[in-house]
Amino acid sequence: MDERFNDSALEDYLNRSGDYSDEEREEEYEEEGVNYDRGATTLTLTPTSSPPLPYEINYDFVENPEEEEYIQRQVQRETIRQENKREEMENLYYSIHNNIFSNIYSGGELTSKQQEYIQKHQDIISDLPYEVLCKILSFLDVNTLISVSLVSNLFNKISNSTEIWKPKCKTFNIDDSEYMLKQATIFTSSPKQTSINNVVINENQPSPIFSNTTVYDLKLSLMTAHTSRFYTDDLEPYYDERNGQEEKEEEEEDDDDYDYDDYNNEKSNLNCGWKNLYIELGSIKLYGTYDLIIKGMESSTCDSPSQTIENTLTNSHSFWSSKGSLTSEGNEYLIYKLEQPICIVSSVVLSAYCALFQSGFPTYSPKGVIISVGFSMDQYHYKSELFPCEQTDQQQTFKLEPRLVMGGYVRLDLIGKYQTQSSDREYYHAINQVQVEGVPIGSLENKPNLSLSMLQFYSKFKSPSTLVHYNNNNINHPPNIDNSILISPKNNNTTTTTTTTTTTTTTTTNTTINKDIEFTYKEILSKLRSYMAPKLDKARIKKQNIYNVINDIVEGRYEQAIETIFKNDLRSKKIFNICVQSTNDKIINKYFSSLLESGKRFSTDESLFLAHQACTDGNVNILTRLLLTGRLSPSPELGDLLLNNGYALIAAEIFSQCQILDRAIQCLFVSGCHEEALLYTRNYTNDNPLDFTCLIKLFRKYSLFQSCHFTIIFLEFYISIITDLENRRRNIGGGGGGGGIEEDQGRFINNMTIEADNIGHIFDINISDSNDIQTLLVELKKLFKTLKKDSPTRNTIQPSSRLSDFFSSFQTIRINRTE
Amino acid sequence: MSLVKLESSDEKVFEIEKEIACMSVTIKNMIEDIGESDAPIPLPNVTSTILEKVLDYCRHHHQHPSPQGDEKKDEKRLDDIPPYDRDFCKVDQPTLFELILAANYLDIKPLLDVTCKTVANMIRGKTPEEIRKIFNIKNDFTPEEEEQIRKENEWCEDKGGN
Repeated sequence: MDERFNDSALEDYLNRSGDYSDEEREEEYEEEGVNYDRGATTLTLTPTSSPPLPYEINYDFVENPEEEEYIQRQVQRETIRQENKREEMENLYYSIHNNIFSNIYSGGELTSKQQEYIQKHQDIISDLPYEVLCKILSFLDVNTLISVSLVSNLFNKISNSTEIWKPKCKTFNIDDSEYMLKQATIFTSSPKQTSINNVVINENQPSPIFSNTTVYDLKLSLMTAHTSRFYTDDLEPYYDERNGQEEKEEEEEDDDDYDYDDYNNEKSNLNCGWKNLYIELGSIKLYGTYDLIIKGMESSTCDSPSQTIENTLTNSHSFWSSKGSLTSEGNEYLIYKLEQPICIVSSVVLSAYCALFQSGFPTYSPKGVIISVGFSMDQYHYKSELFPCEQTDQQQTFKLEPRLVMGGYVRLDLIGKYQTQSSDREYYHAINQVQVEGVPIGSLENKPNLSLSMLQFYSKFKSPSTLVHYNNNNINHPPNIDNSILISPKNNNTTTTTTTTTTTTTTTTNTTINKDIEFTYKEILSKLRSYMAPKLDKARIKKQNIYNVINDIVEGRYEQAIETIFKNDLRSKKIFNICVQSTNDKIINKYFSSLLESGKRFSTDESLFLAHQACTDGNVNILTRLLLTGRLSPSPELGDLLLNNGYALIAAEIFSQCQILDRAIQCLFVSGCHEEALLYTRNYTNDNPLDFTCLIKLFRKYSLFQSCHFTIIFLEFYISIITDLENRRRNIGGGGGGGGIEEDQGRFINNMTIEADNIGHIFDINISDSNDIQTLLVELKKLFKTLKKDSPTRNTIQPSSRLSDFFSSFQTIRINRTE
Repeated sequence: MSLVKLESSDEKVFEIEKEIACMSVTIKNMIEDIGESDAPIPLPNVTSTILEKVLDYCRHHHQHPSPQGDEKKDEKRLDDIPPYDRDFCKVDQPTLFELILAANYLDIKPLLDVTCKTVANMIRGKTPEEIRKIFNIKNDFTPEEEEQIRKENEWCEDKGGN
C-alpha cells in the first residue's frame, strides 16, 4: 500500500486528467502574471505528462481543420460543463487542493490529511474485477454506455461486452425503448381522425387553405410507419464463418481469463456482436401497411365454397365461415403464408364478420385467439398466449411485439364461439378479414447483423440455401447476387478489394467443407432483398407521388393534384380527407368530377361525403342515379344519413343493397309504405327467419308513434291471416284454387314467432302470456290514441353545398354502370 | 442460535449468528465444507473495518427482510434502492469499492447489487470526461482511437434513428 504514495505515484497523479491539476496550474500561472493561453501551454508545464494525454489537451495535435472545429465545439461544451461542475466540486475539495499544491510546489511534505485526499483520488474502479465492472455497467442505459465507451480502453471494452448486451437483447426495457423512439420521432405518426362531421366549412372567410396545418403536418398524418424496439430470446449474433473459430476461442478466453491488455480492433468488432444486435433491435421500422399475408393456405373447416379463407385477405363483404358446431366450445384454425419465408411478425388484426343480412345482426367472433408462427405449415416454434376476443365486428389487434417473432407462416387458432345461427342453432366462426403487420427480412433496411442472425435462426429449422430460390413470382429465378451489400458496414475500414476477396474465400471454404451450404448467409440475404426491392420501390414511388399531391394542394395546383391522384390510383381515406379538409371547394368538386368520369366505384367515405353534401343541397338526383347504377358503396352509415335527412326510400334501397333486411323494412316503414314493408318481410326465409321483436325495437328507436302504428297494422295483418287459415281449415273442400295462397301464407306465419310479452315490453305494456296477442293489440291501440303523429322531417334546404358545382355540372351526364 | 467466528485479514475475530453469516454464500459453503467447528473462519480478502460494515448490513437485512416478490421484477432499476441501503452506501469511494470487492468475494448478492447500483448511479447520464473525473480514470486513448470509437457510436445512434 505504501508504494502508492511514492514520488512516481504522485507524479502520475498530477498528470491525471481527472483532477484539478489543470486548473491549479492555471492559477499558478496567473499569479505570476503570465497571460495563460488555454490551448497551448498546458503541455510545456509538466513534461512528464506526454504519453497518456488528457482529453482536453488533445487538440494541440490536431492539424485537420475539420477535426479542429469539432474539438473546438467539444471544448466549448466541456468548459460550460466544467463551470457548473466546478462550483460543487470546489466546495468540497478546493481548500485541500490549495494546500497540497502549495506544499508540492514549495517542496514540503504532505500531511496525513493530504495523503488521505490523494488516496481518495486513486483510480480504484479500474482495478475492480471484470465481472464486477460488467455488473455495474449492466445497470446503465444505452446513452450512458456510449458515454462510458469513451472513458478509457478498459471501459470501452467492457461497455461492448456480451455480458451487458446479451441480457438487454433478451428483455424489454422501456427506458431504452423510449430513448430509441425519441430518436425516431419523425416516423411516429398521430393519424388525424377527420370524419365528415367535423369538417369545418368556412365560407365567409376566404382564409388561406390549411391555415393551421403545414405541409409537414400533412405528410406526417399520411405516414403510417413507426419504429419499435423488440427483444428476443431466439437470436444470437451471427459471426462470419471465417471468424467463427476465432470468436469461440476468444469467448472462452473472456470467461476464464481477464487479461484484456492485448486488445485489438478486430476483436472489438466481434465482441460488439450483441451490442450491434441490440442496437438494430431498437429501430425496426414497421410500415403500418398490414399486408404481410400473401396467401391463405388452409382452414380447419369451410362452410361453403363461396366462403373460403381467400375471402379474409381483402376488406370486402365476403368472409370465411367455419362449419357449424353444436356447442360453443368448437375451435377452428386458419393458416396463412407470409410475404417471405422469414418475416418479423409484430401484430395480427382480426375483423370478425357481422351478418347484416341476418336478423339481429349477429357477429360470429371467436372468444379467443392463439397466434402461432413458424417456418412451415406444420411446425410452429412460437405460440402466443390466449388473447381474449370480444364479440364485435370492429378490428381487434393482437400484438406480439415487443417480442421478436419470426416466421413464414401464421396460424390463428380461434378458440370458442359466441354466436349461434338462428336457422340451425349451431355455433359458427365467421371472419371478414385477417391482416398481419410486420417486416419481411428482405425489407429490413440497414440491419445486416439482425438479418444474418435471423437467417442463422432459420437454419435451425430448415436449410437456408433453399431460400435463394424462393420467389413469389418466379420460383426458378436464377440467383443474381447484388455484390454491393456484401460489404458490410463493419468492414468500412478495410478496402473494398480485400472485402471481396474475403467473401469469395468464405464461399469456397464453405462449399468445400460443407456441401449442404451452397450459399453464404450474405448471399442468401442479398437474394431475399432483391426479391423485396420492387415492392419497396413501388412504395417509395407512391410515397413520392403522395408528397407531390400534398405540395400541389397546398400551393393551389388543384387540377394537377387531382390528376396525379387518379392517374396513379392514390385514392385512400387519408388522401380523401385532405381534399375534404381544404377550405377551397374547387378541389373537392374537381375530385368528384374526376371520380365520376373515372367510372370507378365510390368508396364508403366518398359515398358518405357525397350523400352528406347532396342532403345539404337538397339535390339527391345524382346520388340516386349513382346508387341505382351500383356506383356507390352502400353502408349502414350511408343509409342512416339519408334516413335522418328524410330520404327514407333511398335509405331503404341502400339497406336493401347492404342486405340489411331489418333496416330496409324500417326505412320502408318510415317512409309510410307500411304495406311494402309488410311485403318485404317475406324476404325472410326459413334459413333466415324474421325476428319481429328486434324489428320493432329498431322502429321504436326511430319513433314511438310510427312503431306503435306499424305494430298494430302488422298484428292485425297477422291475426287476419291466422283466422283466415283457420277458416279455411274449417271449410275443407271449400275451394281447391286457394291452395297456393294458403301455403304461401302458412309459410310466412310459420317462419315467425310473435312473443306478445316481449313486444309489450318495448312499449312498456305488461303482458303475462306470450301468446296473448289480442290483449297486446288492445293495449297498443289505447297507447296509439294518446300519441301525436311525428313524421320524418326533411332538413331545411341550403342550396349551396360544397359540391353544388359538381351537382349542377352533371345534371345531364349519363352515368355508366360499373360491375 | 449457534454462533460462528469470522477472522478478517487484519486478524480481528467477529462472532455472529450462523444464520446471518450464511447470507454470504461463500461463508455458507465454507461452513458446509468444514462442518461445525470452533476455529474462526479466515477471510483473508476482507479488512476488519469493511467486514464490520458488511456484517452490519447483513444484520439489518436479517431483521428487516425485504419482500421477496418485488425483487425479481425490477432488478435492473436504479431508483429502487431502499433508504437503509442508500445511507449504507453513502461512504467514500475507496470504502465503497472495498465493499463491492467484499460483497463479490463473500457472494452476498443483495449487497453486491446495491453497491453496484450506487456506482452505476454515479455514472449514469455523465459525459466521458465527467466519469473520468469522478473515478480518476486515465484517458489512455490515442486521439485516433478516440475518434474511431466516436465514429462507431455515431453509427449506433444513426441506426437508432432509422
